[in-house]
Amino acid sequence: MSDAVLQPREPIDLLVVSGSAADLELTLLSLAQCELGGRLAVARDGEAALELLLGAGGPRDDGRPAGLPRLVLLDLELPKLDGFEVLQQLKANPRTRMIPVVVFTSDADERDVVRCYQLGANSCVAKPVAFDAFRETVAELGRYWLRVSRPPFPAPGASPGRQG
Amino acid sequence: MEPIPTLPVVPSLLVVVAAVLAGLVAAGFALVWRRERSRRLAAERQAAAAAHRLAGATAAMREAMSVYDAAGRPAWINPAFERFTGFTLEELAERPALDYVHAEERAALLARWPELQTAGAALEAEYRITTRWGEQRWAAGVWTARLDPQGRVDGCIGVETDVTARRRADETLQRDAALFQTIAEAQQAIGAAGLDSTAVMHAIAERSRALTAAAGASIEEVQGDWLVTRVASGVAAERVPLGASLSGLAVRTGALQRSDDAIDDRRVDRATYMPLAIRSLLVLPLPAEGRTTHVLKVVSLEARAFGEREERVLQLLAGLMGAALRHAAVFELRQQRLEERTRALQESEQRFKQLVDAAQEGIWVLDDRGVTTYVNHRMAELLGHPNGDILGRPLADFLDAASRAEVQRGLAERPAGPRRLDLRFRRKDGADLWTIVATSPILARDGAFVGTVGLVTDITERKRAEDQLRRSAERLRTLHDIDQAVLAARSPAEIARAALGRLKRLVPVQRCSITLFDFAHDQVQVVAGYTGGLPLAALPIPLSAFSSPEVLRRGVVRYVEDLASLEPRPPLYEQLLGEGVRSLLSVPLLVDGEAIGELNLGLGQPGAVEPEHRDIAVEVAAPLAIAIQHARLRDELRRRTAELERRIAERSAELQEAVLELEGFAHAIGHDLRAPLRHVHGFIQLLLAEHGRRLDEPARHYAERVRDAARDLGTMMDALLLLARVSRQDLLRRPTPLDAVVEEVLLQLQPEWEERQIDWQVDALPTVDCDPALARLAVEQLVSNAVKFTRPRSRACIRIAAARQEGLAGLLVQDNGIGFRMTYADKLFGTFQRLHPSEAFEGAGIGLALVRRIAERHGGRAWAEGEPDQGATVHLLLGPETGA
Repeated sequence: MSDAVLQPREPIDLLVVSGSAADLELTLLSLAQCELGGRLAVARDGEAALELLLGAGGPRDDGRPAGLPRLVLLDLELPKLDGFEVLQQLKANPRTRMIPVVVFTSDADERDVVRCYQLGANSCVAKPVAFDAFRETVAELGRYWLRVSRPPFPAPGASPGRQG
Repeated sequence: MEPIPTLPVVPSLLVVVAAVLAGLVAAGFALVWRRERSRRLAAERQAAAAAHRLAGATAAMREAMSVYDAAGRPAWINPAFERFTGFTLEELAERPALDYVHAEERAALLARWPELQTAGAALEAEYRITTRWGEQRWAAGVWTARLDPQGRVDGCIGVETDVTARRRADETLQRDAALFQTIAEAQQAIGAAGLDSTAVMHAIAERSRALTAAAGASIEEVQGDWLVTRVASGVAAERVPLGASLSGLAVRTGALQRSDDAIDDRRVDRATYMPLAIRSLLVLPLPAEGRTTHVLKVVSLEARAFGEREERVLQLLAGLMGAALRHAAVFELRQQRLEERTRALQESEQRFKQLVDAAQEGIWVLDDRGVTTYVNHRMAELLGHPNGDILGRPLADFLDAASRAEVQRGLAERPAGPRRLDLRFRRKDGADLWTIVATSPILARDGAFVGTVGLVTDITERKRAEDQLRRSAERLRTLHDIDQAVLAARSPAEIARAALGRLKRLVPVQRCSITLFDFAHDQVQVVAGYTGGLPLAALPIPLSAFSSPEVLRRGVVRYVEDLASLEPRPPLYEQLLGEGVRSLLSVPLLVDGEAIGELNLGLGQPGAVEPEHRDIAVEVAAPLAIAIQHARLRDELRRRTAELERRIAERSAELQEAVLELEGFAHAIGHDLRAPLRHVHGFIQLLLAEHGRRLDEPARHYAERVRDAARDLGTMMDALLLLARVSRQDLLRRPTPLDAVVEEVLLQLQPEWEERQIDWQVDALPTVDCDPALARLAVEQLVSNAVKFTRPRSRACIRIAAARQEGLAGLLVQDNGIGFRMTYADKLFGTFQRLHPSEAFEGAGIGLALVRRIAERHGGRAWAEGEPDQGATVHLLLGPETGA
């Protein structure tokens, strides 16, 4: 895995939006360790995330919008546009509305959590401080959303969910 | 006086009755007497003849015969003698001569006995004898000389006839005659008593007493349930009960009642008579018109004093008495009626006189031409003219123009019946006299109109009162108006303008103003005012413009009758004079006795302020002062409130800022600081996990220390975040059963003590009005602490019980753990305060701070008690206990 931004036309499974390099590194490390596979994209700020998702091309052969992931892991603390803005725009757009968004952030307070759900977040998860717990949380999220949960559109031929 | 025809009849009737009675008595007596006398004479002759013829006697004779010898000794008696006297010859011989004759008559008889020595001599006498058995009888004795055959006197012969019966009859007759005589006299006396009932009664009582030889006599009258003595003779007046007296019995039965001995006679009111020693009573009802209203009563101190005779006497008198009383009563009644009628007539005359002369109404009589023929005293008084001035003049002369026209119209119409006119007269002194005149035509017998009489009622006072009332009502209305305006106004100036605007309607002011004193600044502030109809400028006037500022403080009403006459004039008065003010009234505005200002009324004429103006000004000043004071207070209050609000706003802003800062701080801890901490922990963990083997021992030790510190820091930040959340979060109170809360917490914390032996004692817990989530958090801390601090005990005891204090309820958690020194009791509840090394007891050191914060959020309390090594008890009170 690298932190390179994937080509927009390439189908992806997971988009990680994180402004913190350290967080991103820990998250990607954790994902790598749980070996979920699949394609991963990364956005470092809110603007980039929206560009990637809304600026994606037309529908692909399998009917899934090109470049749209099966899951977005969204941090709230982002340069440029913050996580709330990103979430609001994603959920306001018919094209991206159905993409599951998991708000994965530092321990957000109640009001933030409520606000996220009001904006249409599919889940809110706090990042544990202890690394062991962090790693376990990331693994659980990946397992659940990419393997257990059914996506709103037909899975691509080589979907990670169909493996293992 | 009306004649009373029955009057003369009474005495004449009495006289006739008396005369007839007396005649009857006399005639009867004469008749009996004559018959008896002739009978007696015949018997005497017979006896004498027999004695003479049958000397030597026969036994069969009815007359008692006794023969005495010459020595005067009894020689022979016949059986009749023995039957008469009871003595035998022997017995007679043993006794002195004529011993059987009553001592009183015996001597006389014996004295005459020697007459019988002469032949042919005879002695006749009637005398009493006492029989052998002691009985007294009457004898008519004829004694003659006894001749022997030689014709010589040889003793005497007595022939005695029993005349007892005759003598008794005589006596009765004599007594009766005397009685009738007395009754007749009594009747005369009663008749003579005349028509005064008391005198009649007196006569009756006196006579009855005399006739019955009674100790006393009285006439009693029925009065309700009592018999009351009207007149009494020889006895005291008394009152006896109708229901329990002999008199009452007589009244009820209408029959004469007699008591022969009051001592053992139950019918007698003995309570009355015993003390008077009265033994015999005789009560006679005196009926009048079929009803007994009076009784005649005679009494005696002797028992059995009255007999049939007395009864008869009184009964004979009864009819007369009743009649006499009745007549007297009738007479008195008529007399009384007559007097009453006379009195009534006199009173009526008097009243009429008063009506005419002294009445408040004037009376005015006009003839058919409208000329005055009579006015009463009052009318003259009303007009102020003497009577003589009015007589002979037409009514119109005394009327004002409008009323004159009305009277002309009225007279022209010549009304047939009474009318009512409102007329205004002109008094002699020129004043108006308002009247209501009720007129009636005076008609002659043939119906011709001969004049008019008018009753003139003076209503001037009433008119004046009505006028006053109207003005007063107007004044009240205006005052009320002022009150309303004053109430509606908001500022002192508005109040003052409202009051003056309306006051001007009541008082003709040239200038008026309301001023407020400002002694602190040596000035008087004009709040509102008008001069010549234009508003005054609201300018301050220096105190120096007044003659004496001190007088303002005193709060008295001041009146200057004429400003022009005042020398020297203070500058203010000079100015007022210039504005056309001559008289000036100043009324203080008093609040709690302190003058806060003045109401000033300036009038254009000297001395123009009338008492009424003054009253009005005073009336207005009172509410005005209060209203202005209120307005000032209101202003002050508003100023204070605004100031307070401003300060609150400032303080709030500061607070808001502080809160925001705090929130920012909490946020920083929760989020901004968290991320780097996570990174430290994450990477040091990665370092240890992936490269630990390559590190030497000290390096690994340091890395581990960094990792532990990061972990602790995380824990503390979590705790702080929780504390912040508890402080900020809204309180959602509802009835919360602490039983359930504790049960839940125990279940949740169970893993923490699974390996240990703990004796749990959970008592019944109250249901408390509190936030269930916070309550649970608090309980969690308490239970967790108890579990934690009993860890050194091989056998831990933890008790959870109800706590109630000062209307609040909650629970307490008691353990037998390591306890604490009470000196540190408060420190326990501080944030991150520990009493033990963190190595010994893990945790952020924030549990009790959290508990206290939760208690405080609820308005409750949390505190701890304990001793080192003796365990600890933590109390938590959250809110009022609820029924559920």
